[in-house]
Amino acid sequence: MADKEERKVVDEKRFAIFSKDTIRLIADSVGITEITDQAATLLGEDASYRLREATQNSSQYMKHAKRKKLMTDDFNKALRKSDVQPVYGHRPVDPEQVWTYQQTKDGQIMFLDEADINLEDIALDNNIPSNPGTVSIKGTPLSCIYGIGSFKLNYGFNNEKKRYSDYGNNAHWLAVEGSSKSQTSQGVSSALSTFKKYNMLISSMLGKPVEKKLSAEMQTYFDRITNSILGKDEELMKLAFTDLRTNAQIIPLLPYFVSFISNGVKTVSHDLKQLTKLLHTVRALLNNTSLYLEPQPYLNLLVQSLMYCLLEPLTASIDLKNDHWFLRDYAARLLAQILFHYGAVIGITMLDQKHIQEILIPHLPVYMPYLNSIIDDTSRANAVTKSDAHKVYGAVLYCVEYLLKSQIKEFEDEISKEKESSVLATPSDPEVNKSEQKVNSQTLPNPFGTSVTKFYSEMYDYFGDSLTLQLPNLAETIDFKKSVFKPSKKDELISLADPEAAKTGRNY
Amino acid sequence: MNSLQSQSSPKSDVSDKQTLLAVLQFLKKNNLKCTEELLKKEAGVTDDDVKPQSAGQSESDVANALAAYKSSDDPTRYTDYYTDLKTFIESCLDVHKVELYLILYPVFVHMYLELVYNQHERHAMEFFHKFSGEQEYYYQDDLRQLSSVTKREHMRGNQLMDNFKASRFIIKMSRDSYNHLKRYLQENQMKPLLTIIQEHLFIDVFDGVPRNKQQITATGGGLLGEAERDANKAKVFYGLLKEPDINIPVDDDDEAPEGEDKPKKKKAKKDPLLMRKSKNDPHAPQSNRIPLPELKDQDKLEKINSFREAIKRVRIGPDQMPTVCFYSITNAHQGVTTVNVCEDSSLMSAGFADSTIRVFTLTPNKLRGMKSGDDLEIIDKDSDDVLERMMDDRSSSEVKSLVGHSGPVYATDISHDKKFLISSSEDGCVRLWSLQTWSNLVCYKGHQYPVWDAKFSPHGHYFVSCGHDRTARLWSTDHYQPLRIYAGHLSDVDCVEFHPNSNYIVTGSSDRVVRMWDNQSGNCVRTFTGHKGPIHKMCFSPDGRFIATGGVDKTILLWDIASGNMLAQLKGHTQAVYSLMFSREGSVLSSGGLDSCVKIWDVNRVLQEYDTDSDATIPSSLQVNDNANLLLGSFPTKQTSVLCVHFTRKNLLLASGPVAI
Repeated sequence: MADKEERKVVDEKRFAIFSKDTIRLIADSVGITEITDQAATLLGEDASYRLREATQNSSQYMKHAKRKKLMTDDFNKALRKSDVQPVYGHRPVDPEQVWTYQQTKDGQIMFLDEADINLEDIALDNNIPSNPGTVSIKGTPLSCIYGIGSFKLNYGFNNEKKRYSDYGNNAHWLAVEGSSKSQTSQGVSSALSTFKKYNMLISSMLGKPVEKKLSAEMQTYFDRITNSILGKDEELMKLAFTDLRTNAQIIPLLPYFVSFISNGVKTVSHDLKQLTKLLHTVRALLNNTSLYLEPQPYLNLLVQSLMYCLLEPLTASIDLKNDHWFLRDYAARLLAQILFHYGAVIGITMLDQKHIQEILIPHLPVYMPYLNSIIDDTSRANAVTKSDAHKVYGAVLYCVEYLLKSQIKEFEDEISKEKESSVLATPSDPEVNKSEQKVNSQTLPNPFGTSVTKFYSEMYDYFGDSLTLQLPNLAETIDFKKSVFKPSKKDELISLADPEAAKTGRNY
Repeated sequence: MNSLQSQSSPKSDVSDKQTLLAVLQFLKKNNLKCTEELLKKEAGVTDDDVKPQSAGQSESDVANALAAYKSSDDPTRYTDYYTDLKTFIESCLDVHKVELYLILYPVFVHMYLELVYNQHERHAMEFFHKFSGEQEYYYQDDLRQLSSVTKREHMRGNQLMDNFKASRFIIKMSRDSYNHLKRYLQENQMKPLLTIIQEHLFIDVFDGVPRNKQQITATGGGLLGEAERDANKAKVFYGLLKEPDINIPVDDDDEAPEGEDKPKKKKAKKDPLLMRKSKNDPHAPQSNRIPLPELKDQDKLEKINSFREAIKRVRIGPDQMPTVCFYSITNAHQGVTTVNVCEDSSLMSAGFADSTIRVFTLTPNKLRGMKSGDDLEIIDKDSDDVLERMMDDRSSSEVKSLVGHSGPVYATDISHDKKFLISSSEDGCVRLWSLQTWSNLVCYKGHQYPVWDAKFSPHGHYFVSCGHDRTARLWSTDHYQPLRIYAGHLSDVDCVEFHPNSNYIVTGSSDRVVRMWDNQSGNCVRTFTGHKGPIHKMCFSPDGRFIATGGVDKTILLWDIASGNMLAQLKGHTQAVYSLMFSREGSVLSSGGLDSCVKIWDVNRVLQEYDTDSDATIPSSLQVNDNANLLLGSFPTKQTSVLCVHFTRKNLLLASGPVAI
């Protein structure tokens, strides 16, 4: 019965229908064996109609529960209204449970895939079920803090706002005097100063932003999580990250975590391991679907922390043992994620390959000799710089390689296109490149107006054989002659674009 | 043709005949054959006349009523009749075309039902599939229900069928268009079509220019067409009650630290709203038109309080947008069905699908229960702060639960004096709770099916409830039976609201009609059609003159109670609208719904652009403002639907809803 209902919801035009066979089966199951064809048909028609009627009535219950989704509960209420026993066993207890289909000779059967439960295991298990949390209207304390301090308020209104935000229930300011975005800098700074207050409390990394309003459970949870993140136990740490990623109840703790990260980054700047862990925390928070990282101040603070990891000349980087590149890559990737998340224009411009192309390539003629000279310098004092230079060299090389590869591909494509006008083959990184390729091929003029050959020879000057090594079939695949006559429409750019892509390639 | 004309002419003709038929019916029933024969002869009524007419009359008997669909016509002809009618309408002048199109839907429905009734199932299906697609989008929900009716047996007990059967579909039409139609029907003798139009349609003819498409669509959408012409004629006292004389003490002691000069400035102006109230408003009802409880000392204090707060109110408009404070309800896995904030904005009540009610405090004042009986004996009952003394501090908490219902709680409302809470539930009960002892006081039983909404009167004492049984009921807290039952809606009554002067209530229904009822007489005094889906929230403007309604059709409509006209259509929500509230001075309207967005609308502008001179009797002279610039602001939440918006007395906007899980 329930599956028929489901189908009805999916496709409104197709009605649920009880065939006479179904009626026979049901009659059989209650002990009535002799039922005439006619009776079965009539009963089937009537049952189908009642079913449709109940389904229509159930939508009323959905509307009043103010939901967009029709639930089995609604249907059962409609049944109860028409004096029919409710259908048990279809209550979606666990959202994880999914409907499974199976094809039988009589048609498709839909059922809930339920695993057998061993009661013994449950009884003897000492896992305590997780606390579902109490219903509350508590919001995020931080947002209200900056809601108060930051605006010129009308006489008497100040109090009103204080009244609703200062005490007990901490609501969230959806808009202040009509603007949901234009927070004044004052507001942010007041938020930051609040954070600074918290800072003092976090004298050590394990410190806790003590705040009276936080419930004891929340407090313990926060302590546990931060401890396990910074602790040595890998397993525990992983567990903590998983929980941060999935737990929907940590909304009230968000400001604490954000402050934990932003302060943490500043205090442990010498310790790459810890920094990485903090970045993991950032990632976990970003991936948590139930958290809303408001641009101000949460994202702002997170971005600051990430920028720090990305750009600061870390003291630790002096130590050769430390792979600070990894950290930087990671930070960059997270940043990209946030920016993507953010959907901000900033993100696009920062990631825009056009800029990279314009900025990086023209500088190569100047930069490469310098880089080479460093690499060539074998003096001892230069050891650190040299290894760094190698990294940079690697990154640039990777990028140029990529550039070349795609250019070659382009050429092959163009050649084949002439023959069969096929679509451009998608390069290896479809997500990043597909769209850009199109854009670039149409809008970007070739920056140095050269063909691939020219570009190749230019790059060859800088990288020498290492370039050819990477591209063994380069010479063979290209019909140089042809390419010379055919000016390239575009110069494929890469993805140095996302710094991560280039560097990742080297590091992983 | 006779009866077709009689529809447009005064009803006297019809009612005379009906009386006659009723008498005949009576005679027949009591076996007074001779008299019956005599009377028949004298009145010139034939046997055939008596049967179908009388059958149509006794509407309560559904089986009888259905017999009106009996027809021996060739089922294959129906498609032709309908197509012919359509071709005729299409051949008309454009001005008439749009009006004549209106009759297609009811004709289609009744033709289909006739086919079903006469057991031409296959033809009925064919007919349905051929023409159902071209009906207006807002009828598609009904059509879906209709399409499931394919057998004569199904017609019995189907709510929609009963409605189509028992009532006539009302269409407003200009005289010119009507004459066109009449001529066509006279020229082509198409019997079934004629019968349908005569029996099931009521064509309300007005003199004037035909309406255009926009005007027609604006007021269309009701389950059974538009409001009758006389529906909105009755006088409505929409003004506010005269405020009792309370000496409002000169106040600035408590706000002294805020700033010295400002309060004086404001006081000099005085609040125009409050000033107006004390004058004699010709539109206001007598203050004793319905009996209201006397004000207690505490109520007077509360009034003074609200007056003081009102003085400090922020004026909201396009250049002074409101501040929105959002309360997200977290961890509500059982499902939040309703959220409500009390008048003075200190308490928030929420109803849950697991039958519980929770009351939250929004201020630092915690919620306290009353002391036990023994402790109450001890306290000094003559002291000034006796109300304070009787409360038990030990029981204080930020949230209190009220448990008692046995089904999802669909509505909660806190009385203005904050002593009581009323709640309605799926279990068919309305319960009254004390917010002093935090316990259930009374369970009002009367509704048959789920009770969708319940509201306290702004003056206390009375409350009103409405539900699936298609009625709204007015109760007083001290009677266990309803004082009034308002019947007239054709489908579930989904929401109800008290007029600020407590003399009227307004109800919104799944039949897509909003009705306003007089609490004194129990009559329906206003009928507003124009919504294209069930109505789930309504709100009166603070001055009592206007009403905003919203619901599943995602549109908010603004109405003038004085004339019964639609003022504006506010479109912008992408999901059902579940909350509405005017700002305290009435200049803007806020709304929220399932699309997780709080929207602010410019009401002042609507009123400025509203032409008060238009004549309500000529529908084609009315204009509806649907300017897109009326939307002042839109504030999205991430994924929290907005079940409640509430302006505090100082015009801070509070909003609330459950975090999606």
